[in-house]
Amino acid sequence: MREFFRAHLTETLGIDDPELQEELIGEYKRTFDDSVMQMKNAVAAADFERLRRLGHALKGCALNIGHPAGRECALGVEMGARNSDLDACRSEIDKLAEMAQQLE
Amino acid sequence: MSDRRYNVLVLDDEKFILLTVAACLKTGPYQVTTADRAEDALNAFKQKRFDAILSDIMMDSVDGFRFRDMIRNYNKRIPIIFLTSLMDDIDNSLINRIMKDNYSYYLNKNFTRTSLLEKLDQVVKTYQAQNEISQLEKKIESDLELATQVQTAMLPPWVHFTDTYLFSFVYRPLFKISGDLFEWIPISPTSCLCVFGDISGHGIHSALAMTAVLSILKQLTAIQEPGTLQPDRILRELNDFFCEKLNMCSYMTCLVGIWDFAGNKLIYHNAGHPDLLCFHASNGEAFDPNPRRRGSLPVGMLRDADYLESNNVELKFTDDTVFLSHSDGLWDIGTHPNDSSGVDVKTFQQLASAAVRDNFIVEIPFRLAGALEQIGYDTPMDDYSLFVLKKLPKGIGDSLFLRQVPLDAAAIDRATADAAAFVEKITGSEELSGKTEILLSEFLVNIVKHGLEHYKKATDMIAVMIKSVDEGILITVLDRGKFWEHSELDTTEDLDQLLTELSRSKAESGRGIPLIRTLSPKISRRHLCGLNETTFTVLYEEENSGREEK
Repeated sequence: MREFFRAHLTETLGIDDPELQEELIGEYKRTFDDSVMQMKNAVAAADFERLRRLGHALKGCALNIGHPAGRECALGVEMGARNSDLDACRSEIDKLAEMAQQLE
Repeated sequence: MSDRRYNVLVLDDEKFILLTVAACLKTGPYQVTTADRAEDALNAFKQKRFDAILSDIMMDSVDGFRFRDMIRNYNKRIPIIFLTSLMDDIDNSLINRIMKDNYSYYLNKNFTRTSLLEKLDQVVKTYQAQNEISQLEKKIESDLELATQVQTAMLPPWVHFTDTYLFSFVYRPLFKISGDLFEWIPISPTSCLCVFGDISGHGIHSALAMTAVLSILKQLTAIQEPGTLQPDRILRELNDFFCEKLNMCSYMTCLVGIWDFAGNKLIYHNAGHPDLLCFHASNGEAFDPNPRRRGSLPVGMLRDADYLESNNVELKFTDDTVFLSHSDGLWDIGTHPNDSSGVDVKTFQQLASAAVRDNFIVEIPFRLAGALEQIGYDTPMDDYSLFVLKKLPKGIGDSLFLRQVPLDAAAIDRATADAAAFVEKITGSEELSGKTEILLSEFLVNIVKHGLEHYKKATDMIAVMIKSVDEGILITVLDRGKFWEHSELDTTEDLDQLLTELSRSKAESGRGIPLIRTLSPKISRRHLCGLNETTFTVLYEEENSGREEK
């Protein structure tokens, strides 16, 4: 995954400094983990507005770093929240949590 | 793009996005400042000059649109690029909100370095160009302001009294400056040369030509013996000037006249200008001074054009003849922006007859311009000017005080002292004389100080007229200052009373009226299309009638 992100940063965003790349990937990972944790809390509280915002924000980050699978699930959370569909949100958050492991 | 670095402010509450954008722009011509809160971004914006802003839309505390409103309080045009996952949010309401502001753009969050740089380059260049245009506009505006002052300074004063004649005129540039021209050159105490012109086109081009012609006229008349001045000769010289020096880039309709008020003789030559209109002041009746339609081509149209002496018009006029000249821009005043029909000639002549019959000569051009506006002709399409000239009756100075007063303290002192002496002479009342001096001094100083505060021009004048009436004296002051502001009104529920109070208040504010009211119980006021007319009645003391004593 890291290699994929590095390639995206270099080719799409013109960021070829390895140190900077590592910093960005690390920050994405932190954002990803933090978002998943917050999404779980929001699901528990059935806070759809919060879920929508978290899904939307993570979607933007995923788009930015070139992580289509992450973007897909984050969009799923955002849409689920818009439709007040807690099960749909939960299912997408589970996928995101699995993905977080792969980002290690 | 030049070597200059451009300052970009980036606002996003996701640190990751801020880092990515900053990293992306690290090697470009952009200096990036980041903020993860709108308040911090606004503070940064206030401290530094930025060339563009990148902002997220959906943020926790203050969203991107509110942030835009905050920025617009300080800068209406700085480009704001909204970073959005628009592909997934594609709905019209979001796009409409972004596009509601003319200087807002959007960029999808899956941007590439190339797309980000292209977008920034586009908005920064546009912003830069707009700023340059704005600077240029300001410069042009300030140059035009100066040009207006120069042009106005070159014109004669709007009103002038001599012992034998008087004139006044209204000068209305379509923009700030005009191609209309009027020059008055006294030849002797009882004669003068007047030149009325209208340079082709309008705006800067014709205004420059107008100022050149004015200076040429001054040179021509300075080097010629007054007795040798002839309208046809002056026109020949002007034609040479247009053809040789201005290379025929413009032409000018022109009427050159020499008035001899001692012999009641006018000799003029019309080179394509609207002809003089003549009226009898006693009944407003018009007469044609040039029934044989003598005249020539406008100057500057034809290199070999001849301005023959035989085409001069010679006119013997009566003492009550009122001469009115205008430029053809008068015919182009419309009732709305697309009105191409302009002022109806017959209507204008009827208005002019009435204005001549019913008004003091000085007021006629203003009265006419105002009358045209009142009947709907309020949209000029060209520069226009209106000029009136009349011989004064012999010995009028014994019963009427007429004075143009320049806008300076010494001139006001002289005029008020002369006015006081005049009043004492015609009424024999020292008291009336004293009241006149105080009243005029207070009023004129206040006009200069307040009424003409933003309007001071070297050649501007205030006209003062004083005459004796049964109950005392009438003092009329004409000034071209701003419309008077009214003071706080007393609260009243009666509408009529309120209107009366409003009218009184408008008439009395800004001219030192409270003191003056103690000197003159009767004050009336009119506004004539740019001219304020104020008339004071100063009464004899009841127990001490100056007229009877005299």
